[in-house]
Amino acid sequence: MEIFVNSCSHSHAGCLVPLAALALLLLNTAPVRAANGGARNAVLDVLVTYQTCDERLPWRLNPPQNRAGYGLVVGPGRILTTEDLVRQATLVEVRRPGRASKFTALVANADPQLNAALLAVRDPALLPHLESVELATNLDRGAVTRIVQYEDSGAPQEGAGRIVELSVEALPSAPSAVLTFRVLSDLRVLNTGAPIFIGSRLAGLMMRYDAQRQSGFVLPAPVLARFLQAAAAPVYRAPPYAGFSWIALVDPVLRRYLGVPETGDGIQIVQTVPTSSAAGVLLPNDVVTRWDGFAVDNQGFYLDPDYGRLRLNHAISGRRHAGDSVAVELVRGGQPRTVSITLKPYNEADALTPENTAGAPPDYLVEGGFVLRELTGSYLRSGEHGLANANPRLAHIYLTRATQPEHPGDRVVILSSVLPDPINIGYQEFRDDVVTAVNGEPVRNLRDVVRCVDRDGGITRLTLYSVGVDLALDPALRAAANARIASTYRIPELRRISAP
Amino acid sequence: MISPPHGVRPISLAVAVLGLALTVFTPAAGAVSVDRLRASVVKIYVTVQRYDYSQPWQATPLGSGNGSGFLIGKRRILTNAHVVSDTAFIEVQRDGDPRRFPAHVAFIGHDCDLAIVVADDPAFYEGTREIVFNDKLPRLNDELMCLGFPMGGVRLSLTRGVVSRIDNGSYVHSGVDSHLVVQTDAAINPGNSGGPVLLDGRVVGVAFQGLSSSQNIGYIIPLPVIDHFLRDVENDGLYNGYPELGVVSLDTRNPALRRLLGLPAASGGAVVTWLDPFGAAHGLLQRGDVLLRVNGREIARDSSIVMDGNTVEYTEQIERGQWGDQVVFDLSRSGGVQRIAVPLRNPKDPFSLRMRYDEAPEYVIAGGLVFTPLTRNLLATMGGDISKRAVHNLFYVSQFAKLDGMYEGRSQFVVLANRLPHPVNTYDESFRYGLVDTVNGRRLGALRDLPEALAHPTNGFHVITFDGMENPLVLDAGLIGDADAQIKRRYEIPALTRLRKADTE
Repeated sequence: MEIFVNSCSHSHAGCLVPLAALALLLLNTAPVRAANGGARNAVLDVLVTYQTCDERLPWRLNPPQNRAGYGLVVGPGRILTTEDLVRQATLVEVRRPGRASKFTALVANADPQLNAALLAVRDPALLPHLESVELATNLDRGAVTRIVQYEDSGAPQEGAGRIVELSVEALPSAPSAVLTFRVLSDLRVLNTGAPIFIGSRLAGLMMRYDAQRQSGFVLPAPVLARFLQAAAAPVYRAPPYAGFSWIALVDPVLRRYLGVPETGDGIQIVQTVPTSSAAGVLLPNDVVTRWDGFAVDNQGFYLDPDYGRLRLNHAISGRRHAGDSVAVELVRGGQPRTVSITLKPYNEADALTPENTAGAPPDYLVEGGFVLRELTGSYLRSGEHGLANANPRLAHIYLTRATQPEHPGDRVVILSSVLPDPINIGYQEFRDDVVTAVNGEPVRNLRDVVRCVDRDGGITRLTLYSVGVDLALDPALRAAANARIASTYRIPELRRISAP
Repeated sequence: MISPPHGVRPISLAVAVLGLALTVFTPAAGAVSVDRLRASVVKIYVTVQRYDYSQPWQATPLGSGNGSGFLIGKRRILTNAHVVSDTAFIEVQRDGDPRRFPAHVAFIGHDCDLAIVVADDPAFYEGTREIVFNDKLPRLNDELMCLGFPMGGVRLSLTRGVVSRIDNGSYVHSGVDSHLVVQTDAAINPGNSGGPVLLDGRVVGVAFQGLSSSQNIGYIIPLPVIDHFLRDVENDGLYNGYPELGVVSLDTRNPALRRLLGLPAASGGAVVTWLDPFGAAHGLLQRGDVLLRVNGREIARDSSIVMDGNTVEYTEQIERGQWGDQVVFDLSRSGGVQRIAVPLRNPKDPFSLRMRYDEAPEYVIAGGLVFTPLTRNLLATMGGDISKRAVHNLFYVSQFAKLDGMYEGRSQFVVLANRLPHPVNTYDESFRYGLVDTVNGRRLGALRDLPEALAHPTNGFHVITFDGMENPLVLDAGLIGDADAQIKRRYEIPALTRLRKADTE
């Protein structure tokens, strides 16, 4: 039926169907086509080969693994999917469900903070008969959606799902919180990115499905629309972020202490990020009562004109763009005041200990067997039992100061491990120590280390935090040792320093 | 390794069968017969009651178990500290004698997991025999015999094995100490703890711990540690414990490091990289000092010395020393060689965070918030909450307080350990396990500073800040008194504070 409808709708003089019959058919099938035809014709399997990096030996990639999910055609050769599906991809292929032919796709844009990615197929003609899907523009709690996934044969499985929760939640694959919804559905969804439709329009992409609760966690159309808009710009424009942390302000005693009525609106500012536009504008213990014209209640919710009661995060990053200025009403020391904040895009690299959400291979330097790198969240989580078993001092820095560099560009340089070699004899037990200076010069990030090493022709002295004696290396042995270490430990390059 | 009242496993049955074969076992030539040894080995029954560190005004439920011990003269029964720690009642019993005799702890060394128990009634000692100590460390592959009362049966049990390893190892009872240990493949099971381990019928150690995830790895406290404990007790009738030198050092095996330190090519030495502010060497040794000799013994560049024909870490010289002894270092400092004597002492280090036993925990309850000092015991209660940021912080502080200089101006870290729910503290759960920094603007040096800080509210509020948290906890000072009276009644708390004086810490 759908092929017939499509061929007719695309046919011209050659169509043999009587005109009256055609009109009837189109009238009858129009809603069906919208629901099943166009929507279904936009779905592709996305097959991903990916490789994670060995955080301890960062020149090493772990064995390739595979993921499968779905993508939706949003334009000629353009496919929308979730970022966590294509994260660390070495090969992305797409195919029509049930078909054998695969076509290579490139990741054109990927935003781990929104968990959205745009793939590009070089020659759209390779994937004929595909239609672009349109995004739903409104989502309502209680709305009935349709979830689609495909069997190996290409046969679709469809299930109804009701939107039960529309809220701002942390993403399963990134620390950021964005607008999401949950659907209740008994369709056991197997792969990431399964599309959810309202009518013929895409309401969202499934990120996780909990079979026990029959509940799916969905990246919604408004977030996807925002991502596509940002991706359409010549340079990807990341959404803005607040640059401050806040907590609910319900405790009447605390409210009195902060100079606001015991009952009423307002959240408590806890901390600002030094590199953000909130730094110096908002202060800890400010009570923010109104953001960008929206009253903020004492639990941090506001009434969104489109989606009802939502957490403030959506007003900050979901309704505004980087560069926008917003008015913020607050109470400081009992005195009301209004300040203006010009929103900046989020940049993970501003952090003292970036998360490395995208799992990019980290920069490193191997010198005299010292494996030097910067501390990241993904490094701390990479060991057995993750953060719970990480070095307590490094975990402490990450948990208390991650977003708080003393100076822009500051990172925590660590001696991750020592690759045993005659040059570093006696030092081989050191690992996960904070490096404070190289050759007597203080270092704030790996770039500083590289500069010292290149200037001095190697490391002669490495200073570690709370170790009272520098670890000395013999410069005369350096060249031979580095060559030996590269060969013995099969290190293709002794450094990976990405462009700033 | 006190055996639980129930929990028989197949391996214990096998031990019981071996125990029955005891009488026909023929000891090695020249050794003391097992029948004679039987008169020296004692079964120790304990009723255990520990403090509950999350509700420090009350005790945990009662537990019971048993361990082993042996007579060493002067009516003293040597056993493990962990057998008789936190006990409400102790009884001792000889094998084959139906009578149990109440006993008490005379000396206890938590750092070496050894204790001396004495029966209250002299009648217990009739027909007993003191055991004989060997005069040497066993060697690898020497055959050992373990006597004791492990789980799986009632009567004396004997197991045999060889010396598998002699090494420095951790003593888990205190959580922080490590000394010499002997590893054996002789079956050592719960209930063996405190029992004698013999070579040629003479004691070479005390069975004390095992490795639960392994097969046939049992550990024995060897003679040098036992001897250290007994000499300490003999010296002044008090157990002072192992002195702490408080030095972290680095090998000088690296030629470039040796050049940086100005060491001659042929010399050895260990370079001091950190000094514990509470250690014996603090103020005497310095960072960067290269320790060349200890008590005249040459320190090799891998930090080893030769003692009794064995190569051991130079710290073994301190291990053998007693409170009041001194160790003499020849060291290289600023290009010259100096001789510095370090009097060994065991300073009261509030931050070593040893497990505490038989010691009522301190606490202060204010507004239903339970404040206690940071202790290893408290950390042990929060293992399941490791994902919480505040708990991470406590684990960090417990290990790095001295290294990272956080101890200054404090003798304790104060933790908000618990919240007894009441309207006065409804919104304060997120502060649980927080490390208190200031109260009403006053930095807490110890828990005992808290009542004074609470006596000076800030404009009618108590403002409490926590390490690593930007937002304060705020209580209405006017509501605290009535609230605490209600909390005291509702949660049946005998007293809202338990504090010790500074000098008894």
